[in-house]
Amino acid sequence: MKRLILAITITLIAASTNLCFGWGRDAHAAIAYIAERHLTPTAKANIEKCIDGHSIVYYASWLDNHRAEQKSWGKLAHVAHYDVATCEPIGKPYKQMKSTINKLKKYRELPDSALKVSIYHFVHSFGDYHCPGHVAFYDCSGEKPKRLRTSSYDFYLKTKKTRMQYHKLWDSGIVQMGQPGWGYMDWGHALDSSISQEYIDSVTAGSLKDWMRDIATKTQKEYRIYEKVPQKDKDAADNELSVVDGDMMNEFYEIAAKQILIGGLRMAKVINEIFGE
Amino acid sequence: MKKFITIIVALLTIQSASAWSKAIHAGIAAIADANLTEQTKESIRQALDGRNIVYSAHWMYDMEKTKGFEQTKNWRSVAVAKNNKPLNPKKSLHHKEDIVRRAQGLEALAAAIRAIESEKLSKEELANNIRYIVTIVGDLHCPTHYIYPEALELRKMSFTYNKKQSYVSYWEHTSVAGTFNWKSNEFVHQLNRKSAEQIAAITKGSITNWVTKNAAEYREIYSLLENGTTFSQKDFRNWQNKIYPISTEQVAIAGYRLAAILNGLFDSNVPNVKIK
Repeated sequence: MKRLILAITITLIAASTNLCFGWGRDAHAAIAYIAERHLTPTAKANIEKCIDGHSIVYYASWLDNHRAEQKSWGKLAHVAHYDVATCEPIGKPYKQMKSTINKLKKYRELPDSALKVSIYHFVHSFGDYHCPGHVAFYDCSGEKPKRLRTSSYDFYLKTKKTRMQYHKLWDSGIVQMGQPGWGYMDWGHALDSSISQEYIDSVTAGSLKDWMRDIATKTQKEYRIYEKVPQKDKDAADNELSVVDGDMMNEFYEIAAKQILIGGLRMAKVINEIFGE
Repeated sequence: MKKFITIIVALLTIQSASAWSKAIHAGIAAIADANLTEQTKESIRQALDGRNIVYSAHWMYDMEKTKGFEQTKNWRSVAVAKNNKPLNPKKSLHHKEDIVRRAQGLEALAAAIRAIESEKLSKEELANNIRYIVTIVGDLHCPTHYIYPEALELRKMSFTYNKKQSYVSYWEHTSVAGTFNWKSNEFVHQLNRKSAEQIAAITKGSITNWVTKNAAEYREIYSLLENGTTFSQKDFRNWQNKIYPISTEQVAIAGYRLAAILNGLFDSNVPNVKIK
């Protein structure tokens, strides 16, 4: 009976509020807002002209919201693929992002709708690629790359006494549980108020490929998110799953916060280079 | 057990019976605040004991159960005729439908404005009337706060996504929050972006003109839903994508119009917004 009451309560609360958004919404907005804080006035004015005077933050989750409306939008990747041996980006996600950035470099020549979708794709997926949970590793030693590790598996979240999908933890759980009442401006002020120019220069040095390799390398060797929470059988019972406890959540929160900041700073660099003239 | 479940359901649906969410009211007030003249800001600051209008954005709702403020429950909506003009209060007050009788938002707004214009208010009365204006103007830009007596069945429209939901309630609570998690300052950052010409067009005319224009436009929202639709996750998202540009635009318009009313009342250099 108690279980029934609990189930009804959780269902009603979940249905009456909007708890199912996260890195999707909050962190994407935070990344775009941090980027916006670092735009030159010219770059900001030029890119906003392309999106009907809106802020890039307005469109930070556009691709999540609208991807089912057109086949071509649905094909744009949100998870980046990497060779597990080298951490080099491989396949469509990298190619798509490179192509979008190249299109944006000629933004004055692009038709209005293509320009808008390119901006929406860039401000969203570029943020996604900075989320460790959006790093998928492939074994590239054979004829075709073979998927080895993604975050699409369940683990046990000790602090909430529940099983959860690991991807969802990185997508929404860490950011929401870390700072449940924060808006994107709170994230911007908290993460981006006292960083040095040296730090900005160090994280924004290099190319798209360098940045993506950096994310994959950190995920694999420094953050070790897959090693710390190994995948178990999909039919495993709750007590057989890998456990994430409060300490690990704190550690993951620091990683997420760091990646949000880096993502925003790099996004600003790209936009300034393209729209700053 | 039944009692327990009933209490949970009641608690979760209480907000469905009110209005724009607290966040939206705060957003509208914040956009207005960003468009107040210095003279208006200072007068309001003095009237509200150093606070700005965002602090009071939802005050009228918070007071609805306080003795002496019970009538404010009837100040949240406006009833309009088929030609979209506000119903004559004499007619609406004697209408057979309770929801029409209770739609006194425009009259309450007009009374609050006239009270401030009279310059005969105590400090507390002045503060309360400012707060009424802040909340009512916000509500008069929520499409589901327009009562169309000849089409009251529209208010019963519903859809199913996870659970059966009222369309009216969706507009008030989820039409923005289903897409954006904005706080009040974020509403300003996102929506306070109109040019001076656009703001002039939005604030042109009288409050009655605004209500009539809104009433005509807001009828259209009922064509966006086929009553009784059951949505898949994908279809629900696609459907929400048609709603949020409308709801966010109304939030911005409400903010600019609220600023116009307050600037007219408190800044001698700004003309008053006429009621009719």
